Amino acid sequence: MRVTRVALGVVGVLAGLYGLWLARDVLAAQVRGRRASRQPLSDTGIRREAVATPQPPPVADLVPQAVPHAQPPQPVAARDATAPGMRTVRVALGAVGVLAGLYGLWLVRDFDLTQLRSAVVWLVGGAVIHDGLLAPATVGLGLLATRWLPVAARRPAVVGFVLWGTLTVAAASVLSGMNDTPDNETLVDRSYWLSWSIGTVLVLAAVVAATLVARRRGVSRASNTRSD
Amino acid sequence: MLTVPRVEDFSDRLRGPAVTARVGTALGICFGICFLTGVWSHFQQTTPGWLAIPPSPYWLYRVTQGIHVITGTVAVPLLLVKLWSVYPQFFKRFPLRPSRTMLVNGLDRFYLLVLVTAAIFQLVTGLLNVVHWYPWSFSFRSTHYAVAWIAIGALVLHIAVKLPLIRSALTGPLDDDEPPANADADPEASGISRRTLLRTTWVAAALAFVATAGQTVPWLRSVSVFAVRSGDGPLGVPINRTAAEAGVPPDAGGDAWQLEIGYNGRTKRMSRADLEAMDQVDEELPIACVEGRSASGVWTGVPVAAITAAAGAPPGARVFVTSMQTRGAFATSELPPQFVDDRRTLLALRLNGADLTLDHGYPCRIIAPNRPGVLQTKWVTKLEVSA
Repeated sequence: MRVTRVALGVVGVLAGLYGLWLARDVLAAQVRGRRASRQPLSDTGIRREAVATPQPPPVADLVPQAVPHAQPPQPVAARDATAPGMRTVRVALGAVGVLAGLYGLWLVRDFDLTQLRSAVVWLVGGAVIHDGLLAPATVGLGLLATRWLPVAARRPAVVGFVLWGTLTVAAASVLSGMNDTPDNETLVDRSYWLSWSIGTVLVLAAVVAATLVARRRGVSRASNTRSD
Repeated sequence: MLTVPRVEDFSDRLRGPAVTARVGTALGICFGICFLTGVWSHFQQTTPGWLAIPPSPYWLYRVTQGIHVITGTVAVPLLLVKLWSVYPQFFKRFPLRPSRTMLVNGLDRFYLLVLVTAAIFQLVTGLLNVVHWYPWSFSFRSTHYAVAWIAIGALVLHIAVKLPLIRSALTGPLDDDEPPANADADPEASGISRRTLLRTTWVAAALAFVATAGQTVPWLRSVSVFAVRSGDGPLGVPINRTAAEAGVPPDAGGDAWQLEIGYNGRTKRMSRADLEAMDQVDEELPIACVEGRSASGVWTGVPVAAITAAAGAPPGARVFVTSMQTRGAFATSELPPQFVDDRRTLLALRLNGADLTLDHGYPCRIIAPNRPGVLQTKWVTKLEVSA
């Protein structure tokens, strides 16, 4: 037991050191970046090229894009990322986040193996069912919709699908009819399937109605013209 | 031939930071509120020594726990749309040979995996707890609490990583100038703008609220068709744990029943008739459960302070309550001095004008202001007073 723990510890420390070694340039760049951020933004390849190669004299008729930009516009995100105030906030937030997560891990220290195994199954299971089942099914439905649905029906169908999906997923626990206390008559005491069926019919009816309205207004024609 | 898709295979007209950041902000607010109310509930149930929870306002736990379950439920459509909007990133490839890129991408993937699994886990286990379904072998309360810290930690880290992107997306325009150019060729169901998608998401969140919140918000009761409880029950109040579930025999409150009151090495015994002979007090107080549901009732009984006084204890005493229940984690509870001294804290004998039913805790139960339902001990058999 003791040997295993020491060995695991050593492996962990070595892995951490290896990670730091791999990240050495990134870390160095971070340190350099902090100094550099106070100076004007560094030159870009385009600019250097512009200086190195003599340009043809500007022609009045040339489209503006043809003249190399002296400085390509920096995206807002990239500018913000290097701002000193932003960096402090981000580092502080990151540290708080990691500490909170580690505290959560520390809280499971007393769990026995059965509990841990079950928790891991449920943790991983949820993500697997979403990423492997729900999300691909949604993408597939989208593909089918673009193939089969008339253009006028797409917008109502998307809106209807989001609302219907919300009803179904949020009500899945009561629809399942499962609970560990079947003798408690004040719990799960409504006609959920009836409500769900009515909700489904209402959403379908609304989608059909909205499609008919959209078709009358000529959404279909307008979209087709645009796609030509 | 089925091939694994690449990021480029997905349409990115609707997806993208403009939508993700907006839905993510709403989702982050929901998770934040849900986390804070959840920690508060945890403190309510397992009060740390440094914290003295006051009995006032009497409705506080009802509100915080109602908000906890409501924000969790509303987060369901938000999380689904949020994950949909970033789903293509799931297929992003990065080099697997040891390199800095691999390390950075690997760490990035790791914390995102933690965030997504923890977030889904919290919503799923929370929703199942609301219907009292526990198809797992971990303790719900301690696991939901631990994973809450992991989820919120990963979320805060996520905000730190994405902050510049979030800022530029939120300050930038929502829809690009170009209208959906080619509706027929668009690989995803199209014809809708980002604005429409966002509005639909907000409506979906509102729908999740209206369809379930009736168990907490009384005036929503008639429209909350998916609420776990209609709000009906014996004597007008639903039951959380029945006598059968708690392992209380049907004849538990029979003529032989006596309440034991221990103080200072002496034990005083009182029958239900003795308790009924004491001055009775009516208090309208909510019973508010960890599942978010709550219901108000008029409780009639004897203030616990009057019982401790009858046993000879001075004010400022602490009372340890023991139930006859033989199953479940909350067979005992402790009333701190501020609750004992509050005259609204009752050993209740009646509810809404009738004797308690067995499922409501007959022969007598504790009802106190601003306490989680699990601490409102039913089928009381013993009060141990310590000054």
